[in-house]
Amino acid sequence: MGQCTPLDITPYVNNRGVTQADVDHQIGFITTGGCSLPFEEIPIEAGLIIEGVPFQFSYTDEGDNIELEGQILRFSPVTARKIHILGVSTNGNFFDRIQFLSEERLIHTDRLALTNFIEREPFFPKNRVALQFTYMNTRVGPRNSLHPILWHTALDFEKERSFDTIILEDNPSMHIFAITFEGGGDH
Amino acid sequence: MGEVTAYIDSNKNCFHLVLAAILKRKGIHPDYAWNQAGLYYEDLGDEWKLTPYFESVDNCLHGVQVRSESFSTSDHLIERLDALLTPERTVVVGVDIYELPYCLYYQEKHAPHSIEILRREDGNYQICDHFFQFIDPLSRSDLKKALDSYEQHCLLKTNLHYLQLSEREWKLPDLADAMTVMKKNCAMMEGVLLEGMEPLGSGIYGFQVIDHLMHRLDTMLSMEEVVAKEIMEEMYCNLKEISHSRDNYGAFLKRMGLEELISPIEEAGQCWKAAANMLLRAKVAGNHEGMKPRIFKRLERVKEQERLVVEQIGNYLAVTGK
Repeated sequence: MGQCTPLDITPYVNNRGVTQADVDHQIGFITTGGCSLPFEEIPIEAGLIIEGVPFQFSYTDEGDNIELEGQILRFSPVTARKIHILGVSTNGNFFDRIQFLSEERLIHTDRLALTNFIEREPFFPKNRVALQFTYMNTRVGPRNSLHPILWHTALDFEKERSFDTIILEDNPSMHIFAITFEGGGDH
Repeated sequence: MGEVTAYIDSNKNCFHLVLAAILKRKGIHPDYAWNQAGLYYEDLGDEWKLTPYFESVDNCLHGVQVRSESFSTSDHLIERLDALLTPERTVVVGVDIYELPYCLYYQEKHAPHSIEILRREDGNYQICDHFFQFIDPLSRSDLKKALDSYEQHCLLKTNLHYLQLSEREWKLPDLADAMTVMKKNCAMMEGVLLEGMEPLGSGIYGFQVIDHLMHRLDTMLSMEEVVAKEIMEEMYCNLKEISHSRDNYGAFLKRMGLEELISPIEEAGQCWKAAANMLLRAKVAGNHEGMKPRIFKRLERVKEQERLVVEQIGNYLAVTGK
């Protein structure tokens, strides 16, 4: 595995997808029906390590995930062979374009595919379970019968690529909770 | 008939779920039946008709027919239902969810729905509601209420459907059938009706529907938000059904061994679904004007993808059809 660098997505979070039961569950809006993931089951502060890949979460007044609205994510140049993403789709299983740019020049286009968070099995073959929750928050309170899943997916560039910008599509049914770049060198 | 379980498939509406469950029980994979991906729109003033379908779902299932019957009263339907039910044959009926005691919307909301009647049992009916995943008895009186309400509140004629399968003629679709399906879908999108295809009404077909749809959405999203909510729900369901039709068309081609053709169809399905969800989001969260350009941009991508689908399938047919 290469060196992993989590991206701080804080400047881009725009959706409340994590709430606390009986505290603020009514403000969750990861689905249009008002569902959200349980706060205490996500290691917001400590982050999460999956198969050796560290992920960093964000939690602010603006939200805790990026609901895809065509955002342009700009950062210091990185060199990566893979990009790891934690996310979900809602009200369906969605894929969409994701573009990578270096100095304003398009260097790679890929397909970001995220399974619906209420599915029990990955709809897209590259998706794996990152976290499965013991319950789900809804507008009217927690529901123990529902066990949503936060999915992990990796886009493999097949060789190292340097870039400083990611362009997301406008698709509000897709949500990104964390992004980590993996370099090509061994560590 | 062995133990019945609910058929789960997020790409099918409640009526199609029941038919799919029956087909699957007969050993016919439902992917063979859902293959229509056309587009038809008819402006009916305050209302509209928007559908991707133009034939019965048994269009290329040789030896299988979906029989449909309508009745003037629920008593007549129940009489016929009792005569049709056998250990090998179940029946689909149209009901109003408002009168289904197990349903989330019981006594709250009127909406047409389809359930499968499995058998008669102790004066009740054993039913399977595949959509709401409910398998249990429904009393005869509750069924009658749900049938009556279907006609009274959903304004639809009381009806039932069942599958007729001829063991002798039964044959799965072959490549020639798949090519016929592809030709029909392309023709529908290009606004042409091939020989044997029945017109759906006086509306329009194919690509040009998308421009009319955008015009309709423009009007809808400019209305007072409270007033627009109900028709937005209906439009959302229509757009979702179109996305299902593309997903199912892709699954059909994959099952027919034509996986190399499905990428633009999948993309088209995704774009329709994304547009549907944007509309739903506007309905729930408001800000209709803000969502309008986003929906339109997505529908422009729909147009692009639908053209790619027809182009790619057209190329395949031109080469293979020689």
